[in-house]
Amino acid sequence: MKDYLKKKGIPLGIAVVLVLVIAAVSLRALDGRAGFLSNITGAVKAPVYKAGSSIIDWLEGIYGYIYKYDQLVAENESLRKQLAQAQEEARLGAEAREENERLRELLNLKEKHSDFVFESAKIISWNASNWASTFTLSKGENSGIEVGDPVVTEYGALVGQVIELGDTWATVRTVIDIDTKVGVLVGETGNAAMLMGEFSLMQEGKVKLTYVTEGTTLLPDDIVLTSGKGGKFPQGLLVGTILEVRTEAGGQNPYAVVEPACDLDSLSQVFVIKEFDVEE
Amino acid sequence: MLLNLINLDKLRRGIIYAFLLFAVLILQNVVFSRITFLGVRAMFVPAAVVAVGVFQGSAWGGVFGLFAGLFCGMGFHGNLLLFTALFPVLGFFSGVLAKFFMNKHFLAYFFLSVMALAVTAFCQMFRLLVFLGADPADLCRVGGLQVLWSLPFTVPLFFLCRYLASKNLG
Repeated sequence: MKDYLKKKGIPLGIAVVLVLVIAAVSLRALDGRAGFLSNITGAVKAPVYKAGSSIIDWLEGIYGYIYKYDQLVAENESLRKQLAQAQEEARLGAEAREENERLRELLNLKEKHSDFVFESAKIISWNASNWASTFTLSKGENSGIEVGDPVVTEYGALVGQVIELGDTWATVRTVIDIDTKVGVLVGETGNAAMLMGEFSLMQEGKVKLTYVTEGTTLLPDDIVLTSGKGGKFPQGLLVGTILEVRTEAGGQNPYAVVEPACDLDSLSQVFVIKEFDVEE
Repeated sequence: MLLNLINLDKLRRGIIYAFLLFAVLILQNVVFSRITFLGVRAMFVPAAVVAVGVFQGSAWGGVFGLFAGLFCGMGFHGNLLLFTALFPVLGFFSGVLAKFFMNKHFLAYFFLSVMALAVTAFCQMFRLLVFLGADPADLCRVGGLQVLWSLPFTVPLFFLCRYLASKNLG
């Protein structure tokens, strides 16, 4: 057995060490930029993942049709009634609707942040790992995206940050990921704090607000915005709202559980902010 | 003449296992990235590496593990070095254990797979535990569920790899 291990194990060991050294050197040298092999793999897997996602969506549709038919019929009947009621209300509320449209225009993200340059991208796959929260976008360096670019929803809610880049794809770390660190402002007073990912909260789709400035009172429903300090994120992006205020174990320091403003489960399209004015 | 230089048996075997790896990675990264058990996703690539090691020997297991680790690591952001180092070791030692100490029965393979899945989960949680101070109880819960949810996949992998190993590909 000793000879067997020597004969088979040593060549394999050398091969593994070589690959590891090359991979480690590449990771260090590339600094977030995808290597040649990763880039090719990403370029190949992107259309495969797209096709895979389409097939699964189609199968889910069939599954839903077969097994949920009765439920859908009842739901359809209920929805018909609701639609009739809604149409009646819509006629009565035409004036309110017009006002709502104006407010929507007012809140239009592009008008609100004229310095932003957006790049729309679709999510082609989510990381299959239980230990991180990342996803892959359908666009990359060819579309002008760079490592570190913030990613938001159409409503301007922060989704995450680009952490790896290929020519036609980009990996985004979401706000709930355990490696997330974002400087934020809390509540009406706008006191500074730090948004940091925590493993147990990540499993629940939430994130931790900590390192709160002394004297800050954290309250449920307080809004959390990006501070813009450090230049990584624009100032004033909506991150989420405080759900619950807790105290660190064994200490007096308060921290808050923040519910992200973006619904990560239902995301399919996001917007990468390629350029923005840095607040000093 | 060129064909005389090539070992067709090994070439065919290599192509078949490349397809197996491709299928396993697609299932892992596309299909089962969406299907969760108590909020946890399966991670059954190590079970495939063990199956190849058990039925094809340590060299094939190691090489299959090397490629599985490399490509799986690219899909799981931040785990490239971990998987590239770990999976060849799992494949190689599965082959060694199957050659010298263990039978190639399902229960023996199942035991090795459980060990491989548990080691993989532990390695994945190690950074979070040591460097990021995550709660060990939460990590163990997720790691345990990951192993549990991956176990059903050992059944098709065992029979598929046993079938492939029994075929005369030359």
